[in-house]
Amino acid sequence: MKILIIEDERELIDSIISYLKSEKVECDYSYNIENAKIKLAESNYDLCLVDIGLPDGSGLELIVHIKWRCPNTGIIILSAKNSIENKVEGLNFGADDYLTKPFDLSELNARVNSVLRRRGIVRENEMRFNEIKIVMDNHQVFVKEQNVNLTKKEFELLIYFITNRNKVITKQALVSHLWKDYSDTVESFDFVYGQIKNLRKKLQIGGCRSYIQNINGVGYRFLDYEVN
Amino acid sequence: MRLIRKSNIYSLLLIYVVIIAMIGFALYGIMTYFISNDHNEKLYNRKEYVLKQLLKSDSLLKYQHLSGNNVSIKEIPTGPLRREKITDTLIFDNIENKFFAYRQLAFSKMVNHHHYFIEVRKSLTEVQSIVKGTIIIMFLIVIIVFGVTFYLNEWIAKQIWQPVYLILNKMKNLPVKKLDRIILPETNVQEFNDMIHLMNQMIDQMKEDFNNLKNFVENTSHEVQTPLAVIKSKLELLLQSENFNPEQYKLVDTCYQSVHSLSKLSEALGLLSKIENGQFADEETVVDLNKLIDFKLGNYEELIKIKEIQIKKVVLTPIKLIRMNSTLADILIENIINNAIKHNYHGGEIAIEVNNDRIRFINTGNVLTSIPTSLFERFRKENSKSLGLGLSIVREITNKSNMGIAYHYEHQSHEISLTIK
Repeated sequence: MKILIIEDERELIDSIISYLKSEKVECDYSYNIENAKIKLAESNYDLCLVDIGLPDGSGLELIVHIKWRCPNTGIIILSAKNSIENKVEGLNFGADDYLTKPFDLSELNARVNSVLRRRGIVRENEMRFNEIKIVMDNHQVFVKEQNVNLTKKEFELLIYFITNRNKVITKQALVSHLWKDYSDTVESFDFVYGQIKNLRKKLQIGGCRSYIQNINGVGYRFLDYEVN
Repeated sequence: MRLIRKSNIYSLLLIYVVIIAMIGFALYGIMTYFISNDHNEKLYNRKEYVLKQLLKSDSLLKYQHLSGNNVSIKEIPTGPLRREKITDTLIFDNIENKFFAYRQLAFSKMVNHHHYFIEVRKSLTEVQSIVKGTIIIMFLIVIIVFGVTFYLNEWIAKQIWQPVYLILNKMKNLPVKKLDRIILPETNVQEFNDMIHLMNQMIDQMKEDFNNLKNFVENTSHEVQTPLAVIKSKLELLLQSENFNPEQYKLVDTCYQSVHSLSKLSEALGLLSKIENGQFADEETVVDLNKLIDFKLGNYEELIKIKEIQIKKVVLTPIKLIRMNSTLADILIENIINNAIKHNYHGGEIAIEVNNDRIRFINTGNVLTSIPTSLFERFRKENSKSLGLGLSIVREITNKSNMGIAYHYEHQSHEISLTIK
């Protein structure tokens, strides 16, 4: 899987690459539109992460180019502007998603996976994690082939954890992911704690091992024992 | 009062009241002086005539009778002669049944060994009539001239001052968003031309300042986000380190939380100044705030459930529709409801009462520690975790959208009431 990052802040590119890179994901980058166009012509990318404020023009212009030259490529906008108008504009230009800076890398990873799945680039209907099986179409979760009933939020939480497995995810990232724009109301992280407690309990009843680690009050990690 | 009228009234009052009053008094004085001299002379003539008659002595009583009030002769006991004396007096007239003013000359005279006391009089009625008439004529002249000059002055001043009024009108309708130069034809008055020129210079300066400020706020609120994104991502990567001790985790977490607050703060300030600068003033639509409240409550449903807050919403009379920017309406209701949930306690209550042009949001909450009126100020916070900008944004939106907002606190119940004007 190939991802092209078009962003003029090099340090941010470094962070994104070191977080997303794995055996399955290959990352490429460009600091400006001109170079991005060359790269897009040279090889096929499954997904582009596009910054709006680029040194040689607007990222929106590049989106038009991508939609025209490589219509199958997914696009996620990375922008510093958080207004509804900006989001609507970006999505109208054909972007699949819009992420506002400063974002959590775990959130970016989740969005990347979600766009790839939606676009059919990742065709797995089933997501497997050791004894956990998730059927994406009808939001069903099985532990050792036993159905586990999860609420919508618990389901989202599980997907987020598995997508970002083995990474420390901050509480704030979880709150923002689950409640999006309304996350600021959640002045305490108790709510996330409650959701995680429920998820843990439901998975354990099905005989699942305890994967969710609490990391010193900073956040949580979904740790795959078999890897370590 | 307009400038022209004020200066007109002052100058005319000065001219007419003071000067004309002075002339009037002088005129009155001179007139009465001459008339009374004339009268006195006539009284002396009459005295001579009466004395002549007395010397003849035969027709004295008859004469007195014929002359009405004009002559009175009385015989008095012998003694020293009385001195001549001129006085003004009132005498009652039986026929007309009222007092009349007279001037009289009193004296005594020895005639044929009789001592007579004689008064000769002359009616002052004519004099009074003349003075009265003169005053009336003067008043009429003053009023007419006053009126004519007043309107004439005003008309002339209006013509001369017209450029000033044009400038004023232009200034009144000058929108902050797009400051345009005042375009007026050159006048033949140097001062006005200078004024228009200066005004335009000021407008240019203001326009530049406004744009600078706008750009500054917009730029900072956006540009700060990219470095924050770098910091946040590096902190997240740092968290992935395997061998951190709890102390180090705590340090990273604190930095991470602060980056989050800084980002939110800069966003909120950016929004606030965008509202203040009237950048949402266009694109007004008809908004049903009641529907918007229901929609927002729907969005917050989960959080409300988690916090076990009871929502009691009543619509007493249907809401009055308002014309405003829909984004602002959205932010407004969002902030108010967010506030009511955020500052509520677990198991609390939010009551919303819709009554035509008034919406009341009453929520339970902790004891208020700050002064109620100060809550709308920036960075005024009851809770150290909140930014303290939510209610400032709310107030700014109501200011821009022709709405009123009030806050009331009593017995741990916080009320925000929104009035549509």
